Amino acid sequence: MENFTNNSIEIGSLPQFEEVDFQPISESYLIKSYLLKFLLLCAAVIVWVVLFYYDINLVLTSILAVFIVLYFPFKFWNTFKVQDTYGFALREKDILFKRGYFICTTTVVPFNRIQHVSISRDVLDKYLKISTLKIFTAGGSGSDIIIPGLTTDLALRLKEALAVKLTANGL
Amino acid sequence: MDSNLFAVPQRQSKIGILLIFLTRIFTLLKGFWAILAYFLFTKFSMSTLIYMLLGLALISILALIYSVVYYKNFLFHIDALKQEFVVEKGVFTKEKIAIPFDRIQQVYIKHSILQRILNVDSFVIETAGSKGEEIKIQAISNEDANRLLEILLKEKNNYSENIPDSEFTEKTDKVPYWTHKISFITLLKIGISTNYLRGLVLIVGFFATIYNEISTLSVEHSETIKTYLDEIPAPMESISIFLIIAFIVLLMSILITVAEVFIKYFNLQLTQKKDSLQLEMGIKTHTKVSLQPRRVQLLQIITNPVQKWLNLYQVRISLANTEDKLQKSKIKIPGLDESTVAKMNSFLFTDQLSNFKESFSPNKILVVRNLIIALIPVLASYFIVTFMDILTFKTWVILAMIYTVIVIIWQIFFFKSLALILSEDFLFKKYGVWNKTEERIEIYKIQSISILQPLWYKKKNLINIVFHTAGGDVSFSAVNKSILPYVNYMFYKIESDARSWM
Repeated sequence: MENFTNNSIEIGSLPQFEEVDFQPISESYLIKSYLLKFLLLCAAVIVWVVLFYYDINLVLTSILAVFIVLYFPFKFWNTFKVQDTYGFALREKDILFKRGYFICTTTVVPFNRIQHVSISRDVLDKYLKISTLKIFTAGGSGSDIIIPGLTTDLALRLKEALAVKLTANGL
Repeated sequence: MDSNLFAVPQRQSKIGILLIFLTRIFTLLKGFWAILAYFLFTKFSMSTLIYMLLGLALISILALIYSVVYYKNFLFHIDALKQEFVVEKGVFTKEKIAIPFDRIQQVYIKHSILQRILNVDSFVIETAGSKGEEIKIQAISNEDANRLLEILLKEKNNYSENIPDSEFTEKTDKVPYWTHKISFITLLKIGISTNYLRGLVLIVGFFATIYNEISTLSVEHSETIKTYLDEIPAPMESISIFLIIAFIVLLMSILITVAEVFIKYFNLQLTQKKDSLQLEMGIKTHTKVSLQPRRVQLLQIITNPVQKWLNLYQVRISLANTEDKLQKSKIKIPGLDESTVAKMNSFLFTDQLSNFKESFSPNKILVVRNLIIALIPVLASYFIVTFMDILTFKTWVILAMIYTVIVIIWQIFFFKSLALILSEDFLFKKYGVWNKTEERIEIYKIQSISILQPLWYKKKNLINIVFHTAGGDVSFSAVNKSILPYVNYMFYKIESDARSWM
């Protein structure tokens, strides 16, 4: 109780998470996102061509055409915008991750609430030399932090750093 | 030490390939048996049979390759230096999972019939958290499994503090502090005063299926039914018939709700012992739960005006407890009076004193947003009506107007009910138009916090906040950024509190 004789000052003087400088993720991730979107676009175009060529259903074909023309340019533009919003930061006692252009989400996970940390790489990641760092908590999927597009080396170093913090906290 | 045994990354038992292969095939067959059966029974000929066999052979080969790769890539070992259990796995994407010993909640061995035949075991390591975070080694030889279990249990126990066994404590505190029982009358009251929406939905669903059955079975009779229906609508009569039907439906949904309440909560008894609250209830499935304060992650107190008048409150508790998967879900305790709720509160949460209490309400823009979302069905129904020609335009307008008015009133009341209250150790959220809910979290039990800012909130300085707990999320929308110092205070609370969250 004695800590809180003047709470407005006390609360205001605490470290502010919104003042933290975020580090960006690797540019290679943009290439990966573009590639994935491009593959999806190819699939959609192939489906459209098949529909069109065999004259299957005019309504469906035109809806799909409109969808492709509207959705994909938006998606490519959005991918570009989102790339810049990815950012993570380590503080002494927690890790922060932000993402999203239209809705910018910042998730803060205190180290003493981390359950475990893992690194995953898919085929594209291997080719682009990047990794995804996953930080799991007990709070369900919304509570977990998944940082994509970290250079392999950085992901490993982060994981090691977190592991040190975890064992330090566990005791 | 023993742990040297598993110091080097190693594979599963060789026979594991067969096990993985068979389980793969089995799951694939389970997914596709309907298609197989369809082809066999409807288009049976020599050629389809040959194609099918070829297909099966191909799938088998693919599954075999998959199994071998899976087996080759699956490696596990104990990292004695970092005090971790490490698993590497994956066919298409490789994954490396490391579980520090102190995060391990439970380790156990299990085997299916197939595994018993092959003389291997499954080895499962559970950590607290959502389902995906358990590690399972599918095929490990019997002795290896036992050795690994021994090592991990030893390491795990090194970390966990000496928590008294639940059986142990039960002996020491046989004498209950207080007991709350629910009488027959109270159950009846609960049944009548809970909303019948569920019962109503059940009945509507029931009649819809019956109607569906009849209309498909007797298409030829439908003409006579139609003419019969056409004869009825003299306006007065149709209204009275409608009222009678409505009354019957209402009565039935009340009956169903009451019956449900009786089956679920019969003989409900809440007893406080020294370290825990004991809950017993139910006919069909007899529930017996022990509520320990530190396992409680999220508490909800729900009442509606009628129930409040009858002094009835429902408490819902989310527990985190990996020892028993069932207990991870919410526990509902209905029919508690105000004083019992207060007693529960003071038992489950100790430090209730607070030097500050700050209340936040959402910005008015939230009403606009919710109204837009709620009115989308109106627009959608307009298109359906004009295209499908089900209703006349006039009736559509009337229905849409009624819906809109109700929605607007509802949303305004809902907006007014929303409040987020922060105190030194607790976070409360209040909401609800008819069913008024109060959610309560102990700040140090929060797992993480997400702060969301949509682009269109930036100018208005608004944010959405989601508090993640092991018992579910609590979110609050369109709140002013002036809450941020308190969010920082919460981080301070979580990070400086040494208590374990479960």
